[in-house]
Amino acid sequence: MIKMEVLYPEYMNLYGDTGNIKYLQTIIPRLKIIYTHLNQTPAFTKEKINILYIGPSTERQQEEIINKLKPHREAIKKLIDNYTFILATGNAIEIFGKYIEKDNGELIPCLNLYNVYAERFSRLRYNDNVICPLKNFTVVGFKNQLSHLYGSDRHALVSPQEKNYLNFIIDKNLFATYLLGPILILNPLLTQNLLNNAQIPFKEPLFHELTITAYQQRVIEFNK
Amino acid sequence: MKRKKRKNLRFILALLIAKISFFVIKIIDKNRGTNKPGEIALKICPDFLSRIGLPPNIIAVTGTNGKTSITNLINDVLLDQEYTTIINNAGSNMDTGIASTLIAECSLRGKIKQQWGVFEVDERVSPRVYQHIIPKYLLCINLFRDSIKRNGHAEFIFNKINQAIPKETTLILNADDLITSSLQPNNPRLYFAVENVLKKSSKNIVQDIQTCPNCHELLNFQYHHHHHIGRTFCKKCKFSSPKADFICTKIKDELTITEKKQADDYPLISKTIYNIYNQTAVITILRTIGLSPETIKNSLKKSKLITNRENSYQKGKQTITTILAKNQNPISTSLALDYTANLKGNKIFILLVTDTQDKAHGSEDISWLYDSDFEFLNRKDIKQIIVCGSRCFDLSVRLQLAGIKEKTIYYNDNYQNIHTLIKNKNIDNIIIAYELYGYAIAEKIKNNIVGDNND
Repeated sequence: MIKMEVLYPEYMNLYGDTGNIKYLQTIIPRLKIIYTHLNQTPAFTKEKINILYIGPSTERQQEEIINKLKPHREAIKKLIDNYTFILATGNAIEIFGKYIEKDNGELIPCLNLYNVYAERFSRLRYNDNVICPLKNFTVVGFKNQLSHLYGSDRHALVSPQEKNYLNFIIDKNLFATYLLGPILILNPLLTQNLLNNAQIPFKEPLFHELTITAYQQRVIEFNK
Repeated sequence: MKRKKRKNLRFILALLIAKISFFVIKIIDKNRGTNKPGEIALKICPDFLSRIGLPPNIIAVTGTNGKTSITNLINDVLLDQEYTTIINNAGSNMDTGIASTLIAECSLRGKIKQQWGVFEVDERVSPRVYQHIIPKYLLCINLFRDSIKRNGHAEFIFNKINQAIPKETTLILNADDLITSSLQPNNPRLYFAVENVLKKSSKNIVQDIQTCPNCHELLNFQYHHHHHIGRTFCKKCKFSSPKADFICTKIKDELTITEKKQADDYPLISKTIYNIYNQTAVITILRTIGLSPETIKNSLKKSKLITNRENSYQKGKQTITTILAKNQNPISTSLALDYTANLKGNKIFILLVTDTQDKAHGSEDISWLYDSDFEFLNRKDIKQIIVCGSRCFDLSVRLQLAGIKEKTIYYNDNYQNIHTLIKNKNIDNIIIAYELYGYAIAEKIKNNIVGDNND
């Protein structure tokens, strides 16, 4: 049985992110999902899990989440070191960095697992369609955020169109990205790659070809 | 009421040029440009809205879903009662649209004669509007997630409105929406609510607030309608939704509103939960400004929204229904799907819910499809789902992830001859769910099905 822990589902679903869970449920046989709420201790501190999913949240909620996760920094580091598949989408990527600087100069210390930091701006949200070659496939997706990620860490990557901001932290089987929403459905090749790397067995869904067609269409449109 | 500023030379120049622009735009294109004069005026005179004349009484209506219907209903009743009104229903609900409306109605000296202003205000432009115009009443019907590109998330929009509300304004708020009901707690306020009148609770993917604002425990519902709408309480700290002053307590052939233990029946638009909320909000504000229940009833009966209840057409025994499901708005789409999926009999759905002008607007962010409850269409009595437009592959994937069988789904990457894709017989209802830009396409498909149009 494959165990997936979804952290703080009452907060971490800003924009279609539950689509990722639905998709993994469809393609991973015998997937057991553990939903951990804010007032609960994360399952990964007590038992072996195969997948950890952390989605995006509002800026206020993000601060609460950081406070909840800080006591579990070492356990999260251990998960990464043990090659557990961790998917972090949207502003959840920032939690892994050193701090978030708010627009009033206040610093919110984060897990400090990577040498990156976020700067938050409060008024206008930043939107973009991202296309980024990774290994032997291209990743596509959407961004909507009130902050950018900076710093220099060998695991942190930019995308070609946004060289000033970091978009990914990829370390062993941790895949953290600012892209939000149902990125696993939008990127069937990425999903296969992530699951293969984590040695998690999966089957192609009946509509696999359709996901590939939709993906290819998006790659063409984003390249225009 | 407004922030007092004198009419200076810059204002006069802006007003004159904007007024002239109305005529020029009309000559160039009759159907275009209701916003343009406002845009011009605000460019020349950024505090134009602080200087132009305003009606002595202003009602502002905001919120994610329902503000247009509410604004129109309030205006219909006021007009029927022979009040003079000004309403921004011809322009947009942005500051430029409100400015255009005022420019069209004001004298060359910038004076307004109307007694009431009824303005629909887009949530995002709240700071730009309320820094100049102080509404006597601000009605907020609900706050949900909406288009992420425009609105980010519900909390982002809440903050925008919350920071902009003038302290003098009386708030008319939805007690069943914990986000809306938390707006500016120190302002004078009245609440409205809808009890469990439909005896129905929708299980939705999205709930924009799930935890107690005091102690962050998961909230419980005393009654629940849909998404985060319902009466909530917290078991841990005893927090609960605010008590409402105007409550919809019964729906039958009429809508019953109870106020200070006095129940009154009003004509009903439709039994959809969103229309019940809209109507309850309208009655709340009309009662608040002093209209009697009798007066409101008589005027509501004549409202166009009451007389044109549904966009349904008959073809023999078949009913064809067109329904708006706003693009990028998972709440509007889910409510439309929930309502129509529950229509009686065998059904076919034609989905025009993704951006019909996708190519003109750039590649659409389809994430919202996964916040929309397409699972409502996973029913045996839905015999066919036709998906149209350039996002047909994405939508087909979404439908299949909702458990809908591949053989039920027909997809077409354009909007031509959609009626020819209808394969099933013994169908009672054909539902065309369309996004904001898709009305003309929906009408064309509907006409083709009904047989009014053979192209």
